[in-house]
Amino acid sequence: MLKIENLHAKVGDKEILKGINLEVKAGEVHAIMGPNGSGKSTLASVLAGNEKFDVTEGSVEYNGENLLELNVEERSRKGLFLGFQYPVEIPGVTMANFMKIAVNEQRKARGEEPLSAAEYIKLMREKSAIVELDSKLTSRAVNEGFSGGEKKKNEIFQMAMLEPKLAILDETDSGLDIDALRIVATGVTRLKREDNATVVITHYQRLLDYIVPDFVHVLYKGRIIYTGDKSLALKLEKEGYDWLINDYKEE
Amino acid sequence: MSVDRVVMSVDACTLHDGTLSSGCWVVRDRADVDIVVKGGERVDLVVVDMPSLERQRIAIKAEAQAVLNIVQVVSEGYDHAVEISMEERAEVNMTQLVVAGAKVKTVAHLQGSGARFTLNGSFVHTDDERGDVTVDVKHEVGDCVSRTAYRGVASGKAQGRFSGLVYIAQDAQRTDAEQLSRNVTIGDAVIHTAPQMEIYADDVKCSHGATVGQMDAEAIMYMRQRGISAADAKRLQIQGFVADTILHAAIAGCGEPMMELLMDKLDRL
Repeated sequence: MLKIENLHAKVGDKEILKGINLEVKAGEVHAIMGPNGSGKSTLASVLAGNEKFDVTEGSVEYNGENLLELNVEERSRKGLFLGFQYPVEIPGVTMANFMKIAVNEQRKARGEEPLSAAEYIKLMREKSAIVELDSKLTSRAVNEGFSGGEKKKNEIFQMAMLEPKLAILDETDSGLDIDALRIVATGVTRLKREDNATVVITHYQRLLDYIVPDFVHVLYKGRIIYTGDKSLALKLEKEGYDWLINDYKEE
Repeated sequence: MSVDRVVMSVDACTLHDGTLSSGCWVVRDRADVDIVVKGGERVDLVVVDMPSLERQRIAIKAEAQAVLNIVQVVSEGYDHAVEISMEERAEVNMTQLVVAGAKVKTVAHLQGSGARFTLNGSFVHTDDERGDVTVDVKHEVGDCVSRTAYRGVASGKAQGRFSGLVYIAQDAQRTDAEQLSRNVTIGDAVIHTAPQMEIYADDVKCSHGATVGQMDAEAIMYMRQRGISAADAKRLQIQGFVADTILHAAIAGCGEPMMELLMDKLDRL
């Protein structure tokens, strides 16, 4: 589904991604871990198409297409979802209205008719239940007054509404208490299908107790320096990143 | 008429002149109205206009410790004036929505210690409308609080104007006043904004600010990542900017029909 080859990207004059190689197939869950500043969020932003970053080298193939040629909304309409690390507030735009427009844009891109008001309300109820999001929150402005945990649940709610093919979750577990973590993780697990894939960017291993990854990659200074299975996450939790980074330096 | 929906959304009695002690009232078909809200009482007031009038003038006195919530919708292009005087510890919360090229003047006199005045307003001018919104707040005595926040959008060949004077008398110590005018223009439309403060007391807490045309790029990115085009995202953001006032309307029941009225107007941006 996703094939990243030798991806280099910079912001301003600073090169952050220095040759990322990654392949994600349908049905897989990949975790990307790494110390702060390694480029995890940059990778997420570059895949989403954030124009703040410049791709200087490399390629990204998404379902047979050149992802880098598509703009932000085009990538979204082809089923790419980014769960933001710091979801912003959009004053005056209600969650319900926002999602209705987004869902119908995605349907239009797939050649489907927009949902009727009744169908949409039904969809919202169904999906907000998956993340135990209080349905009253949908009449509030997007993320306005939401706690950190509510914002993250709201990201997963949107993911449930949009049913992406590839979901990239950027530090979806940061700032969550154990209950919110469980809800977010359960939501993600429930949305998993054979024809979609998830890339979970996380700093802590604990999320991976709930969202079991098929692959764990360690990102360090703009490169993936190690790939393992879920046991790697446990080892990193126990021993930190030093052993890995030292090994890498010696190469 | 969409303004009808605002009226119908609340369980209200039509008001002629009068002294009010409770409930929800509507002012609609009168050009001149004098109202007194009795001390200690709680009243909701919905003010809408009608095409058949040529102007609308409303004078309100809020007696000591009265609580008055006002929603005013201006949809006709003539002169509208609301003058409010407030006694000790009276509280007035006002939401004003202007969707026509009208002259709208609101003056609040805080005449009793501990009085509290809040006005949140939005204006939207399209086509070749000329709007002129004034909000003057006069702190005549000390220990009062006022908050004025107005948002304006103009598109096409429209011109908007916001003027605001917060006056603080020499003896009005421990005044707490804030005034904010935020505006967005689209295309060649113009908005003039002149919030002013005239402060004669020395122990006061005041702030005021004015901005024109600032948008949040991160919110646009967020919306685009959900599949909304850049153009639609900008439009949605502007709608949200103006609608924010309505989402927190002083009378909750009016919110939905006011939003519909606003959305109809924003479609013309």
